[in-house]
Amino acid sequence: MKKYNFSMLNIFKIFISLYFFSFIHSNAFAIETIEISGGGTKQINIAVMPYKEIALDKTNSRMHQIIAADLYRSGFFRPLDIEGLVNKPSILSEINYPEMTAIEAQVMTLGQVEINNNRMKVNWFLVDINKKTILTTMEFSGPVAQYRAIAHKISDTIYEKLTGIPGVFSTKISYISKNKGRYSLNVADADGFNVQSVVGSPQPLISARWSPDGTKFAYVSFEKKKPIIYIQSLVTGQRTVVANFKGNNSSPSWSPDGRRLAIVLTYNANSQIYLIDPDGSNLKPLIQSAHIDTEPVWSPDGKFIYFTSDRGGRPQIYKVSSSGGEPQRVSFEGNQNLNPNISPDGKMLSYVMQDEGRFRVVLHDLQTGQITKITDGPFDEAPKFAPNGHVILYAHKINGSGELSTVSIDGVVRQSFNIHADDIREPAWGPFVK
Amino acid sequence: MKQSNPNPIEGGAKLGEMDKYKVLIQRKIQQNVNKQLCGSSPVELQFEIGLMPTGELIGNPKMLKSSGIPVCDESVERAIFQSQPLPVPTDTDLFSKFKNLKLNFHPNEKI
Repeated sequence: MKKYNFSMLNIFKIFISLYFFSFIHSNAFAIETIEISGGGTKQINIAVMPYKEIALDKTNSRMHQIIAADLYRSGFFRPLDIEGLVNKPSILSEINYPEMTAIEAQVMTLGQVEINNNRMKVNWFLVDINKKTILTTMEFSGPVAQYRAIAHKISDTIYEKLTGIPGVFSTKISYISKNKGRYSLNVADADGFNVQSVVGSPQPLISARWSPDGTKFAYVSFEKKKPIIYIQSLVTGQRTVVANFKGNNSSPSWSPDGRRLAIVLTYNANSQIYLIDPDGSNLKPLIQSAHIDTEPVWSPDGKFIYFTSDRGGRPQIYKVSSSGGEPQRVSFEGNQNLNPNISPDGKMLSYVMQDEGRFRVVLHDLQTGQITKITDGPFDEAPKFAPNGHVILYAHKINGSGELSTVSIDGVVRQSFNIHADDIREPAWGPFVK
Repeated sequence: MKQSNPNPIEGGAKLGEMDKYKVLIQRKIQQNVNKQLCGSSPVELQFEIGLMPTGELIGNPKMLKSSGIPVCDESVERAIFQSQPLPVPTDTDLFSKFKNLKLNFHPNEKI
């Protein structure tokens, strides 16, 4: 039998191998890794505290109500119910973090409003509840008449800080209302407040479109008993005729640089698309067909015009180069498709699809071809993208009369505006104002 | 020096327990991830966290790999915070394997 040699070297080797043996089995240094795919939440929980103030705006809304409503409507935020809380901080030292964590707040906003001699000053904070850090702090001031505008500016700042996307709470929308037999083209804040009539008429007004710089409207009026296209300045109130050709003049759509308009004329026979300068000169046909071609809308790069045509039998969406050529069909699902509108980044279309009898707003991803239905109908129309591309404004019809609604593009949050009128139609969203 | 467990059945059961907790943690955090802020292209993030036996975080999550989109990084970090207390084993042996965790996120992957 061989004798084992218990030399120091062998003992050392044994200890080393025992050490590594237990090392592997106890995993003393390995960190477990967990793979997490997808995400189940769609909104950021925010606690919007009442800002401490002594005066309210004319409609008796308080700053936190305007901000919470803005953020909720965007679809990205869930403003938490803070009514039952005893502690409603308006300064940082008053924040009770455990209480905020208990209501599952991830961020919070709080502040104070000071009013002096018809001028107001708002000091506000956006706070990260988990890390107990200040994300944003600002002071906004202005005349008291700007109360709501200042609230919207706070909403924009909070929204942009947390989503990376520009907020649209300070933008304007327009819509056409009919009340007691009279038509009005109205402009309002993006939340439907501060409505002002821009044009009034006993005859129908349709197809109002904001110019790209937000200073003018192109619209169609029947005041001379036939549809004529006008351009009216929001600044001066002055109005000029763009198209008053024989037959119907309708569906104006501004090119992205504001230098041309696509319009629809029945000048020769059926509805056809033409291009024209805003002063009414340089008329030229875009495409000529034996069908009804209408509702033109320019792509943001100015290279294409999308439009609705019945050349395939029923109304569908087509696309053609803005210098003319052979149109290509774009919509293939549903029974018919109309009212096209394009996102500011040019990547998505929104239009109305007739789907099993319901007219619903859909999103069409131009890169993948995927269609997503974001409203239910049964009679939804005229979808328009917000200038940040993340919300859609549309008209939702109930019992024959329309109401104005917005839906976030993921379909998560839908809201209707409370506007008193017999009928609301043809919404449009104004651009960002520099 | 720790003795390795000589009983293979008990060792296997411990592995099963570990997987169970990993799945619980994965599900809880996944529910809180808001991928709306992570764009539409595939992105990857990695965080390292330290946990107390109560399942609460020790300090802030440490970002090891950014998605390249700041609001996405912040959103995933919020999801980790929001998931406290994380479900961790009560058995001290097993908990030691969960004291530090690496979390790999693929928010835009279809599950």
